[in-house]
Amino acid sequence: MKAFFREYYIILIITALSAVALCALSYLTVLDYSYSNEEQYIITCNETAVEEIETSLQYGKRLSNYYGIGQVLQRSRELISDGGMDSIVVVEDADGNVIATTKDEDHFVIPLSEYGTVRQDILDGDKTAGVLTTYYSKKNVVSSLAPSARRSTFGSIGILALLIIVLVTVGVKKNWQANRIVFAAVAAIVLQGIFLTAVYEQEFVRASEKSIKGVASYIGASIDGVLEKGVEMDEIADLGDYLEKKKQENDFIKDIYIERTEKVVDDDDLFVAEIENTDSSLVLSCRIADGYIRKNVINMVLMFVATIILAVIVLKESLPLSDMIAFRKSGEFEKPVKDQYDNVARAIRYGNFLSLTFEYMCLSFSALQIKEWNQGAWGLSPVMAAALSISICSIADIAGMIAMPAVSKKMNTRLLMIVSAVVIAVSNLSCFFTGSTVVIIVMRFFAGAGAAGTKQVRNEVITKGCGNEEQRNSNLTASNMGVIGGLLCGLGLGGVVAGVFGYQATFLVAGVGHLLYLLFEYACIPWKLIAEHASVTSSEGPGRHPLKRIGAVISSFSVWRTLITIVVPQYFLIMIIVCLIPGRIQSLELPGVVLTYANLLNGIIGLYVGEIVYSKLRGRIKNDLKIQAIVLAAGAVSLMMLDIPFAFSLLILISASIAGLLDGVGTPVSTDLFMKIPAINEHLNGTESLMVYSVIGSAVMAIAPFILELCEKSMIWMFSVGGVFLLLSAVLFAEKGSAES
Amino acid sequence: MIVLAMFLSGCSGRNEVVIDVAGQDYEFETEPVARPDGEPFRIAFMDLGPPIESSYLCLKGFVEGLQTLGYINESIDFSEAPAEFFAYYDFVLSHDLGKYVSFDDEPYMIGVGDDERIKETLVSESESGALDIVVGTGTDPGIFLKELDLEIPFLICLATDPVASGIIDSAEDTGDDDIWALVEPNPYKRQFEGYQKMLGFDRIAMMTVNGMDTITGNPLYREKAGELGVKIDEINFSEEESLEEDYYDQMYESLKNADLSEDDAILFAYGTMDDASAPELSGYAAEKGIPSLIGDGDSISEMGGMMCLSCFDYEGYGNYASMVASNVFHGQKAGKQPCIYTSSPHVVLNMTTAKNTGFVTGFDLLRGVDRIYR
Repeated sequence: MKAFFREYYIILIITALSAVALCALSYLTVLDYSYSNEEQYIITCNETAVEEIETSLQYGKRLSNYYGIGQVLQRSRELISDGGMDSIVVVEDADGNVIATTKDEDHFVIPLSEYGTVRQDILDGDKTAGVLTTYYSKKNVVSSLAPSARRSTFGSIGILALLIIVLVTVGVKKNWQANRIVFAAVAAIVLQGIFLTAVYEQEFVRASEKSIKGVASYIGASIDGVLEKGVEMDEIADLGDYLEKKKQENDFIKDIYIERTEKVVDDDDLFVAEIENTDSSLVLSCRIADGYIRKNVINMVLMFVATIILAVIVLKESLPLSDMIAFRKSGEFEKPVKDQYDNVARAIRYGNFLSLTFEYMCLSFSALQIKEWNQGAWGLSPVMAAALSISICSIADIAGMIAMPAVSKKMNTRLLMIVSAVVIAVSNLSCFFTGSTVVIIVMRFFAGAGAAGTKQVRNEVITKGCGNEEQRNSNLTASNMGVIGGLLCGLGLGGVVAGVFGYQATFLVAGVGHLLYLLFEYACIPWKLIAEHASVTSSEGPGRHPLKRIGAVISSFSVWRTLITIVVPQYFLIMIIVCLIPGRIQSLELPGVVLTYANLLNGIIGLYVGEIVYSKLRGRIKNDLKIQAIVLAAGAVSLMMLDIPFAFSLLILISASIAGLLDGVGTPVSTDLFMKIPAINEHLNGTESLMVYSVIGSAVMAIAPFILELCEKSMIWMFSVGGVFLLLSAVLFAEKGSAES
Repeated sequence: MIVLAMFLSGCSGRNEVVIDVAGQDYEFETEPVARPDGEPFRIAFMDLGPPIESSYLCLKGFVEGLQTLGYINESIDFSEAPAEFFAYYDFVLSHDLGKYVSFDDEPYMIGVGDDERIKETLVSESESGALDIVVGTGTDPGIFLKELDLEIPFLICLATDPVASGIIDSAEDTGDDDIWALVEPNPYKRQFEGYQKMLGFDRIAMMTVNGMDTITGNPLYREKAGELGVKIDEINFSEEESLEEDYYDQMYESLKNADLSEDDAILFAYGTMDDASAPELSGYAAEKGIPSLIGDGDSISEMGGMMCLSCFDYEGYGNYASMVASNVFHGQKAGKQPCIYTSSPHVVLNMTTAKNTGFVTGFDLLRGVDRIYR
């Protein structure tokens, strides 16, 4: 049995982590839903205060001389408190100066872990005069969800225990293979998903019921307030419009109307508020939007499915780890034999998978954290500082890549790997521990420089961890697969970690993750073999001054032709999923789950289908130029189909899938074509070629978002860019088979 | 590096919002306080008799403002108090206000024949220390108190123009540490703009009396109309005409003879419509489907004027005066308190006239209206 667990501990660990992720995801989804309902209720409650303040401002008052504004805020706080929520209401002027609050103190701290925030602009005509911020206590929501959270935790532990019992009692006896164990693990996670859905569905209903009661009672009281002045119900000209507006503001309301008491039907979905100041016996009836609840439950299930798919990918990518460790212990390790080179490809794929997962896990959260702190740096506004924290990482990455060939001459590859991984790990851990925007920006710079180091290491291992060109191609393909897998899992897992523990926790996980990457690379890459290979190639390689060699490369017509017709378009296509599709989903106001699935399909197809299609195409066409021509033509299709004016979600998913396929097929083809250019071969060694290729890629990826932004906004741009791709495809088809394999 | 980061950041300050109240242009003492000898502050209230609605609203605002600040027992339910000056004052006296403030046994009404007795009482009570502060409404009480030169401070929470009438030197410097008067900036312009925003008119008829510009605010209406691009069709009367017995008959005739076909509303400026003429004048406008808007006076709307949007928030004035009084109770000089107070709009609506006019009364409008008359 010990042997069984030793062999399959990775599967069990990943299954356990997935179970934890599902538990957290389900809890967070319901928590987020509950907060969203509470916030809609708060917005409704605050309307009186906002209108009162705005009216006064329109008639000449200013926030700075609105004496007694504290009483207006108190009334809002009391209304919110009627809905069972403690809150602190704060009003700020347009410059962010706090004018008044509902607390007696002039200086206090609000912990955002305990309070949610609702901000409502206060307008004076067309311009913003200030902001009404309501900090509502999350305590009640969290405590109301505690029983379900406990049930879901114990249930999940039970399901995991059941899985282990099945594996021990059946798996060990029947000597199950890895695939069967993975299947059992996935079945357990699916079972857990069903269980969690059943547990939390009632919480969705409960949260909606609580909010609808509050809103019904508030609207009933508002109508009563008008009637109390002596107005008859039929004298309120636009009551229907008002009720419709309230319905629009609160997603959990399906319908809201006034009816006679005797007509009220006994229905669990109907919530009734009394209207007192009227001779007729009238009530305000609010019907709960069960469709809205259903939509949220379906969204949660879709997120479960996405998480399960991610877990399967992590499982599948991690399966060879046992074999790699076993090979590490064998006598073949560090020997220039085929098995060793095959294992280098595996190690490249898994190493890239690890580093990219942890790199992308935290990539966008520095900006979100800075915005949440609302803290600038060096005179920059928080928004600008947030943008800088992202771009400084890319700048350091590009600058680092340019400097790396010189650095690698003074540092062997293993040392460079250790230094780079430690720099990234420490930078990320610093980002976790800090509360300062300046520190985050500086540390993201170091992380970018470290990432350039890991790229250099990757390129060295690709070019020197092979015995022949075919093995180098395998390394290139494996590297690309690792990148795609890491990107896919990093983005997905980053969202879960940020949601459960906050944005900064992603840096902690990324820091620790890079230390795992260091351990893996240190143990599983044959460094001595690579060093030996390096000493041979360096003695054979181009010996002239780097500037002269670069000059020779730049002056080559074939280099420019390959860049323009192959490398640049290929990198541009990769950006479709990064920039164009998210922008499209946002502008079409499609649900967020479409983006999740677009990313997922893109990654899975790139990772698994791309590899198969690539080998089949190579088998049949035998000409990389023609394969690349097909890739570019398909790229044009994936781009232009986004402008078809129907079935948006479906077309986006198809486009994302094609884009994934293009990544899986096109990236190794274009890299290979680039490296086969005579001028490149003659003047640069393999690592330098890959580094130049990466730098060009980074430059394209920096410019592409602007062009894709134009494509998103204008059909002319979209079809023009698509047309250029078709033209380039035709050019490549027309090329003679100079690059035939 | 990590140590450096922790050192730089202090490893703290994450995920929290620090609230530092910057405050407003001026800060008021919100903690109630009694006299140094532990006795409640004694307040005298003065008006030009007989008191009108604005006097009652100022008194109400002042008393309820003191209650909000904690000077008066919160258990007293002032919503049950009668809506008339003397009855309201009696209601106040009939309750135990608590340990911080008390009101004099009766309000001081000048201009109704007993001003000398009032003078003597005020002087003796202020000198003996029995009285701590006087709060007044109206220009005449302001001038009266200034001339009296008492040893205690006085606050004038309502006067048409306290600077022009000489109660204070200016809004920025009252000229006397013991005198404070409320100054409302541009009420007429803000009122005209308010009506325009609410009704969206671009042409309006306006009934005016010339010669009383300070009180009526007519030039300011005209100026604002120009700024907003609103055309005014004026129906004009002289001050002499307004004193004639058949003034309202003349006004009614003028209204009937005027071409109102292009006008979206009619504004009855100060001195044109009063309680007595309101039913007839607003009734005629309603017949023509034209909303009748009142320059000033809730009671005119009660009698028939369709709407009165006032930028004289009398209750707000009283409320503001209570905050100023709180600062004075804390030992600050009355004359050093900020005089400028910008009112929130106060809107009343006559629903019967609105219906007869065909004016649409939406939910938001009705929610914002302070009072509905029929």
